[in-house]
Amino acid sequence: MDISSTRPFAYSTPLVNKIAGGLGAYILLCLYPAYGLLRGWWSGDYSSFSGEGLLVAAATTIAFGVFARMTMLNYLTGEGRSARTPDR
Amino acid sequence: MSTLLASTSDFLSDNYVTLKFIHMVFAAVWAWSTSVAYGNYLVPLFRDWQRSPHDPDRIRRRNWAMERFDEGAKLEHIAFPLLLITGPLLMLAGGWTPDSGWFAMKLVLIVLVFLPIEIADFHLAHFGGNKEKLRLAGDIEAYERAIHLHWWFLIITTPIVIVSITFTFYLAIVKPF
Repeated sequence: MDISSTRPFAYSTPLVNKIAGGLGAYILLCLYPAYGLLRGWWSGDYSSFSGEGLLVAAATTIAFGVFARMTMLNYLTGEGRSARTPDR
Repeated sequence: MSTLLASTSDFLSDNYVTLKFIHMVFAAVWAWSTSVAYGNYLVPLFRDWQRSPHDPDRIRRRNWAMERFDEGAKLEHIAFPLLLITGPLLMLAGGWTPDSGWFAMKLVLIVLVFLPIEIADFHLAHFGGNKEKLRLAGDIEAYERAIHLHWWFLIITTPIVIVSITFTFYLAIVKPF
């Protein structure tokens, strides 16, 4: 196969930071409101939007954002397992 | 019509545990069928390629691994639609509604996390992004783009699936709230 079009995989830590922030924000801005609204619409229970609920959502957002950043950087840059093949 | 619905509901309720067994088998296949290939073949070979991106040997290994991974995702992509069938049947059989917090949370995760990811994954592995088809078509630019796009997709979805799949199993089994 012709490999002339092959190019290095382009990424940067600031880009990964933005992606991790976006993933965390998705929890706070989409998943958490969707859960609260679904419960509210179905059973009239809007308690998910209380201070405690918001605190849990915010903590989950931050924790997941940090985890996502660590995981993505590890997969992109970490040494981890190398490709040990018989002829290498 | 209402009689038919009632008898269907009775039939599903009578077979709730069997349905649950089928659902769990497909859930396990969907969740973990690609994990060994991903962690032990794809990731090491891509890391290896990233260290020396113009090495023909590493490029060949990278391409081979990704094409096999497209093929290997078939089990996952057979299981997912079956989960979308058995899930609502279980909902009817068990009478589950968003009154239960765990169920509402699981619904949100399925619709807003798993469905978008799986739609993209179907496209990347089997349709427009299938690497073998692009290679056979001789479109080497599209092939390279598809490899990069799929690698980004896997990198970004890895933390999502680690957390959300584990959490979904927890919700379904423990029903904590």
